Amino acid sequence: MRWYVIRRVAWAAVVAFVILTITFLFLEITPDQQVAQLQFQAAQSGGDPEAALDAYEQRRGLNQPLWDRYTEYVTNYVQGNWGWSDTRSEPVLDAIVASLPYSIMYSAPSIVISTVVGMGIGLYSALNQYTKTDYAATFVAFFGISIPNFWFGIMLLLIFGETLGWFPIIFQTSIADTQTFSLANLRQLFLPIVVLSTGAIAGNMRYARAEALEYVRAEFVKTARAKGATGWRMLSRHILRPTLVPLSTLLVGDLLGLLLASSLLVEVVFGIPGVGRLSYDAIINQDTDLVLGTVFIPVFISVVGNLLQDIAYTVLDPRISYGDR
Amino acid sequence: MSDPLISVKNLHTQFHTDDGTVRAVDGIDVDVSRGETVCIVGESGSGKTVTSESITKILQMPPGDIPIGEVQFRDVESVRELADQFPKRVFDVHEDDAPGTAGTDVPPEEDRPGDEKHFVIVEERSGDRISRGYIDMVRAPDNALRKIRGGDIAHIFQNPQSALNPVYTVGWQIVEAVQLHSDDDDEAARERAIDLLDRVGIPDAAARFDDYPHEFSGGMKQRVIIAMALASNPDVLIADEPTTALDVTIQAQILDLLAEIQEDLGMAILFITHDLGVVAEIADRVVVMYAGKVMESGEVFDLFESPAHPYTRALLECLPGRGGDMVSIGGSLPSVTNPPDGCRFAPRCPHAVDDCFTGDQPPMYSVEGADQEVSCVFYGDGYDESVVQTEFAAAQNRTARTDGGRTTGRRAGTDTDESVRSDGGDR
Amino acid sequence: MMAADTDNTRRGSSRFEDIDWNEVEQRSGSRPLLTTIKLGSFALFGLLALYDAIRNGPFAEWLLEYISGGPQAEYTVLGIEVATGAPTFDFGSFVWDVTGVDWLFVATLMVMFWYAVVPLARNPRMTRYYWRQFRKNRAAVISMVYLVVIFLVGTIVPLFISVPTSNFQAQLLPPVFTTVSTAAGGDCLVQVTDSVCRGTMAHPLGTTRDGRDILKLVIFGMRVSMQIGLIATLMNIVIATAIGASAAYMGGWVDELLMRYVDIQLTFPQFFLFLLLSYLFEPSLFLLIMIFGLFGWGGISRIVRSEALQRTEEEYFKAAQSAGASPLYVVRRHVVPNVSNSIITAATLAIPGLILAEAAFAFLGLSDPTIPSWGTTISAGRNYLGTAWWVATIPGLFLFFTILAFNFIGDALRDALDPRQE
Ligand code: SF4
Repeated sequence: MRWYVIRRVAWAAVVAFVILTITFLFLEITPDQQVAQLQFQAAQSGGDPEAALDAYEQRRGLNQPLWDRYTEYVTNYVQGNWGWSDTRSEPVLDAIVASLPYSIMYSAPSIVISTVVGMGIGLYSALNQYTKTDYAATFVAFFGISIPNFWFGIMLLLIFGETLGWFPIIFQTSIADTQTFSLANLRQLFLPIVVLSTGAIAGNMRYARAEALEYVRAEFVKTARAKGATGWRMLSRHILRPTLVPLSTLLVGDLLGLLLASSLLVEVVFGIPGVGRLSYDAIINQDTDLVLGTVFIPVFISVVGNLLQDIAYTVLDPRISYGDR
Repeated sequence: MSDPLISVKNLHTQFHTDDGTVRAVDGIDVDVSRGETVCIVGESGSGKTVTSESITKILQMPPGDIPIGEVQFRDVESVRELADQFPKRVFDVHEDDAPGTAGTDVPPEEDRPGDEKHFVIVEERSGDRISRGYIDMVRAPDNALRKIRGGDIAHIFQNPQSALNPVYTVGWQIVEAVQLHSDDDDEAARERAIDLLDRVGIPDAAARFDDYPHEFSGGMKQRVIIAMALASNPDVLIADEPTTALDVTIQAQILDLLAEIQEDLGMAILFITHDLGVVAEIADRVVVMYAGKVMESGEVFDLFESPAHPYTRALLECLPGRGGDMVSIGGSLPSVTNPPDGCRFAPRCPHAVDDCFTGDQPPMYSVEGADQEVSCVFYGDGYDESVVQTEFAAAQNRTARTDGGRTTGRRAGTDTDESVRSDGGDR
Repeated sequence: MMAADTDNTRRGSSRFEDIDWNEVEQRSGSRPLLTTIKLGSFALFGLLALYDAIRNGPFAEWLLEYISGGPQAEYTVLGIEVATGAPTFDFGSFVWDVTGVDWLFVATLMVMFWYAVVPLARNPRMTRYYWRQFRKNRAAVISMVYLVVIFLVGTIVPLFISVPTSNFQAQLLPPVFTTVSTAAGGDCLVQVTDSVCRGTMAHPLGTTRDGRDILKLVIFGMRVSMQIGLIATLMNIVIATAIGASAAYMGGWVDELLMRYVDIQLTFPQFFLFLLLSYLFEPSLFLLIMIFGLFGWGGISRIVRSEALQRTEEEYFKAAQSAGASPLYVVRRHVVPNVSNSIITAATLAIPGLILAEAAFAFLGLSDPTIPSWGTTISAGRNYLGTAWWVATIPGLFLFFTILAFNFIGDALRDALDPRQE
């Protein structure tokens, strides 16, 4: 078991390293848009474009050999030195840390809600297969997974913000900063939470239903019934528990990807100054270091998530053989 | 004569599917008395597994449904207990209309005592105590059945590989069974579980308590399942093909174990199988099922010695070492969604006459001079039963020859290429 | 064929995969002609694409520069006058400015035609069987009709209309039959009263802030969505099948290496991979398709591999292998056809994700701003939600229903084709 965990951790490190390397290569082969911009600016202001380029390369260490640049790049990232954000005039990590709370404010409730509600509905559907509720839930789930979340957000803003005026249209950072746990903050976070949860609930529900259905029909559930287990015990011990094994995969893999991607869009739509918004602004302003930093955050969350998922799997499923993978 | 412990009366179990209603069990009667072993024999799809799972209603409902029929469980203690627990759902059979309904004859649906909500049927009281009565399992709600399931009536299943929950240790699963039916604390339950494992022949039981099912072999898993079934000394053990998935030597060991335990605990066994060899070995009484109906039932010796029903004859002739030609019953099981009129076996029966194709399944006629009942028109008035008491294979050949396929050609002759042993999932 | 027939009716769709398509084709007699046409069409297409690439691609630029020593001139190469710029087919109102995406789209449509439409048309019995299975799911049938309409309108109509341009005489017009207060600040073609303005048939879905017709924008958006969805998915299928099947067939370190790579690619959240790449390169629809097509196949390749691994256990496969068939032959003739059901299902369920991603990127402004996509229009409408609800709402509805339709069809296909599900 311990050996297995060590191997998984080592693999996660390899993955992170390979991703860093590939990103470096991409940076190398693509034209640096900042260079063009600098040269253009220099030419406009009567300076020498070549000199501007040299200065820029000097500053960024681009005149060193490829290998040196590569090792420096990797060490920097490993040491937590993620570069300098030109637009925010602060280190990339500081910028990320500063915006992280805003992202957590709405994504943490969304994760909890979508997991609990999604799984709950999914299990209920599976246990009441072929009933009207089941059909209704399945149909609603289709809407949930199909509705484009950024458009859904806009529609909610249009209906509940513009037309009905129930929720504010503009996110006020001051409220989030000073009264994090207030009703006012909840009010401005409500719609983002709804948007983020909708897709995740639907996805969760579909998976939970499919997985639970397999176990509802399983022989060992019949054994449990024959023993005299009923109701909640039946559900929690004999159906839910084995269902957790495959569901853990879903939670980390698909759900995480979904949430990370949606959160960027949600932040842009609702104007929440979180990591997603930071990433978006960095892209628009061509702040390459910040773009890389904000992209690596979800990547590393995903690497760690995959690792945790593999370990959770071995804890949850006694059948797994540690020799595999 | 004392009442049987379990009486299945006119049981109909159906499944509602996209392709129509599957009448898996279509009106059968089975009795199991204390301490005896009753075997239900039949091909795959004859409804024997569904019958066994209908008794304690462990089959999935929906899509399963029992619209007609009664399953009486006559354990006075359970009746008293449930009568206390569900006082509003007790029905006292009045003396004036009591004797007929409680006896052995089949009450049609409308004659069942009480209405839908009553499931504890009290037939006699001595003073305030209930002295005779039964629980109608078909009407009983889940929270009443949970006491009986595993407590009084235990199950073991065909496939030990999938009957244990893979994410729990075997110890945990047996302890659960113990604690569901007793107030034992964890320590006591654990000890009881180890005793049980020991009892069913798991070597080094205490050490294997914390092992997971995948660490056991198939035969050992089946022993674990038996241990689990024994957790609260049940009165009846329903064993659904418990040896089919195991190899031959292990099969014999498991059968021996069951016989041994039965002797120790005096429990009744309802054994579901398609293997007549096993039946001969363990049964006291046999019920032969075909397409959701009972063809013949009786004491095992009588039935093996002088099988009365053409289908039983055919089955027995299939047994190796029985002399005679190996026979294959032409044709296949009739449609379960839309069963034919008359005798279910008629399309494949070499003796079938016009009466066999009309009306309902023939009633159960008693066989003279034997403890046997049979559903075949030839045992009724105006027929000569000796006609069907010939070798099935010979009869098949004869009809084929003399009729030149005139009548049987339509029924049995054309589709002989399909074997009886059409295997598939049961039900 | 008789045997196959009874098998099909008895054991359902799983047997369909066993039919040897080439065999069926061979036996039907007309093979030489059809194959000739097929190969001919691909060859013709290839030549045209090559011609376009040489005339307009980077190679041509380099060549011209090399010959003349300067890029901004007109040349005569081999007597043909060459001008830079895409070839233009111009027949009256039918103007088709062929771009790189168009070449890819035509190629995709050709592949779909020869490998889906033609086989189905030539095996009417099988087509009828599939149709009977599919018809059971009413939502999927409606979705199919909807998507066919979107597809046809989106591919054909843009050939005859031009990209809507700004029209400052028709700003923020409401859709027909609806009214809006003139206080909103738009232009007004039909004044109902002093303060109320009504939409007209001239712009049935209304106009944007700069007066572009939303119906036209939506139609162009259909084309973009179909292009992204179909081209990128086809690329994904091809790569995923190649990778998955060879990993399963070769096993050993090849399998290890390929699947480890897939692991890494899947660990990188797809959205952010696309985001990073489209940031690093100059954004365009062509690039977006390439990114989605070249890096979106991880999940499908895993499905193909596991499915193929199961199939390689089967008898006919071992028979073919032991008969000395070459690896490529075995993979092409035995592995790929047998996993096609899973591939089709997985691909159908992947299309909505790609369409959604394109819309999201366009919404974020990370796509070519000159190509009217649903995402760009939604983004444009976002800034004046209060005054003109229709600008963001209408293209969003089309996007939503398109994704919904693909999901419904994918689900129905899984029920009909996937033998693992009952
Ligand atoms: S003789 Fe008639 S009633 Fe008897 S088994 Fe044959 S078909 Fe059935």
